Amino acid sequence: MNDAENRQILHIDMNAFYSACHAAKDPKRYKGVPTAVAGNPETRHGVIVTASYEARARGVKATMLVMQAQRLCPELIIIAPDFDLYRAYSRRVMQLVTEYTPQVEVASIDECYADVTLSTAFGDAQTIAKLLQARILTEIGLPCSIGVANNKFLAKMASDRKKPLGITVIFTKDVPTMLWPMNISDMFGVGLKSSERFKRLGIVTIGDLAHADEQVLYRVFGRHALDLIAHANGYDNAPVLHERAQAKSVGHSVTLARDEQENSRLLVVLMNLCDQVGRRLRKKKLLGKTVTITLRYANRKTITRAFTMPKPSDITEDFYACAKELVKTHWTGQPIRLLGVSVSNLFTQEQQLIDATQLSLFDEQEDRAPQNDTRRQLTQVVDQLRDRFGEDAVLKGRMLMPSTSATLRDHRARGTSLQKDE
Amino acid sequence: MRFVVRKADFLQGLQQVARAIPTRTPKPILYGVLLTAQSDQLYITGYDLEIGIQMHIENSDDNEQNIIQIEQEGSVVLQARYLIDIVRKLPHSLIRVDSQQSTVTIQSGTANYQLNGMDYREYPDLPIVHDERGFAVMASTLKGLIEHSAFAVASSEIRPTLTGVLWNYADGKLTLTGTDSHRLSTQSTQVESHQDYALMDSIIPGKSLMELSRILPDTDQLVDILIENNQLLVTFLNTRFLSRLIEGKFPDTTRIIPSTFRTNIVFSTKDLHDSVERAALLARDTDNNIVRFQFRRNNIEILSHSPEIGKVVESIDPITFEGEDMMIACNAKFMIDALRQTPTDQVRIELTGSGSPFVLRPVGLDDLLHLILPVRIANI
Repeated sequence: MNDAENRQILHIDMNAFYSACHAAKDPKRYKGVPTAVAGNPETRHGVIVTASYEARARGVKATMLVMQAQRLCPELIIIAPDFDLYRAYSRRVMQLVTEYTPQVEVASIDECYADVTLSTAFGDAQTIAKLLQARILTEIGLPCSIGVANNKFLAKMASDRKKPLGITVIFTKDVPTMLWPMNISDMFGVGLKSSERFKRLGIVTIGDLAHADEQVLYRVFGRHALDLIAHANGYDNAPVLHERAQAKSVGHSVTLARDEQENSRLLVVLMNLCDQVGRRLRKKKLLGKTVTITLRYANRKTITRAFTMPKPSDITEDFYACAKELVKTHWTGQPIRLLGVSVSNLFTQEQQLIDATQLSLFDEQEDRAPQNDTRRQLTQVVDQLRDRFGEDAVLKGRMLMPSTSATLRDHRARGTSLQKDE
Repeated sequence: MRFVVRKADFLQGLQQVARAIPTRTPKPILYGVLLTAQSDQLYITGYDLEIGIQMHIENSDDNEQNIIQIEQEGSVVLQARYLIDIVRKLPHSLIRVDSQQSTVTIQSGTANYQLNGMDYREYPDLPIVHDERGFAVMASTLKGLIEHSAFAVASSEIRPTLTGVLWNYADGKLTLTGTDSHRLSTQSTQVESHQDYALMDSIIPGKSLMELSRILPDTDQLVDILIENNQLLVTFLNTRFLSRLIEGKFPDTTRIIPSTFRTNIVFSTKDLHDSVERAALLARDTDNNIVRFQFRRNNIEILSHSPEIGKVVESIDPITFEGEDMMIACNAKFMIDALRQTPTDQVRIELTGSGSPFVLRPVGLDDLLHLILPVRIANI
């Protein structure tokens, strides 16, 4: 513990990242003016994802509807998301941080942790933080806030302290004065639901949590509570993980432009989802065994249903067959707002003992080995074509049907902070 | 119904019949055992609609002591589970059973039970098979035939016919074959038959045969076998065993067994079995339980690896090696199962290629063979 608590950890958090990327790329149009990155309201993706600080000064916030925001700030410039741009900038930032330490954990597209305990050649942690912040601003053109601390939790809390362009230092000894007065809902790791439950138990501030009875909270929240109490006291021994753990699942979901009840149109969406899930799995050289679908009905009721195949696969058609069957079995027929497909129970290709096929005496239909080979070859060729000529170069007939889910293939427009594998 | 019976005989009969009492059934009467006292004999019957077992206890001429004494004829059904436990624990060597209306009194020494009987008229009749003689086999031979073939049947119901063992009778030879489509085991034997007895190819559930082999005595006592009216009837000593047949067509297995080989290696059955079992310890988590065999003239290795756990290499010396070097991968379970059902000290493995079926034969026992389909690995 002693060693762990003597670490020097930075948390680098990009300020208004998406808006800032546009301003950095095209300063004439976007720098110093109120901008907001938002999806297309016509397809019901009209939610503000990020607002520039100029827009925030006018009251525009993330998660706001575009219409609301425009009412608050009529000159607001709405920019369509360009995830390729964000990913490119993100990579440049992370690259720059790695110049100071190899121990960089990419937490999401716009934040990372860096363990600079052994980077004394560049100065102490605060010096490195100042250097980094200045270089990211001048060399890349992006503002960031940096938290300096002796563990990840405190670094994260510190970077949140002053935005934009802040540098805040919190060490475990500063916790009683700096963190304990804060509202529990502002603590990293406490979401809306659990902050409500904490408040019902009389825990309102982080200080309250630091002094709470472990036994009682353990019973209510389980293991997670013990971590939270340790964090509230300024302790966190989680290491900075240079390599991200292998993904546990690969999935996509899409909110439909309008609630959909038509089976054939849902199948188009399903095919587009499976297509992209398959593409990503194969790029990661993984195979998956369990296919899970998510259905959100018009009334927001959401269900997930899963099916586990006898053998792992990375073939789009297998996922589609499972997903289709799951929808057939579990869909009530009510209008659907959102549809998702994910594949979990993942194996690397080496784990799969490539192509081990139990031969069979007389099962004509079970012994599909030759067919499997053809499907794999076909998939390979199509993947190569699409790598070279774009996602739309080769499509299945069903995927030609007009559908909002076709935008899944537009990697510029598609993106979640979680998708970092390309 | 009223009778006096020796505890040992009664208990033995009940225990035999218990194999046909279902553990779960929608028909509660089947949890019962049917007792029928009729002209100096006591019949004990269990029937789960799949298999039926009937025992009878009678006084034999050469035994002066009466082991059964029927005082009043009649029938009753009693819960098998309770009856067996009660009889096992009764204090005296003689038991008196007296059934009046639906109450059954069981008395032995100081113990006196009054059990609620069930109406025997609700108990389903055993299928009727005429007791003509079909053919006869020694009990121990039949037991062997079943044990060497029934383990290989399919456990899933995807192809129902493969959950059964094919009985084929031709030219005085009875052949039993079991396969789950990944492996096949078959054994034949000469049988005594009545002239002009013809047996249709029949498929008998593997599970039924397992139960039959458990109650077959390990002696050279002759067992009568008859297949008729969609039922198998096996009669031995004072026991009748019935099983339904599986309807459908068993796949043609005659052309599957290769007749020429490129490699032929003889091993000590036990050494090979133990080696494969050790290698399989690492293979048990992988889907196909895969072990690989590198058969080389000067060095034979059994290998297995699991990405998470580790790997194992095991060398084994053959007794003889003929032919070319060969590599093959297969499900370790199939290999272990086959070796367990190899009754001789030496086993011969015959191979034609890494993608072709290979055969295990007990050395000196020509009528038994196990065939295994390998697992094809792209980078073997």
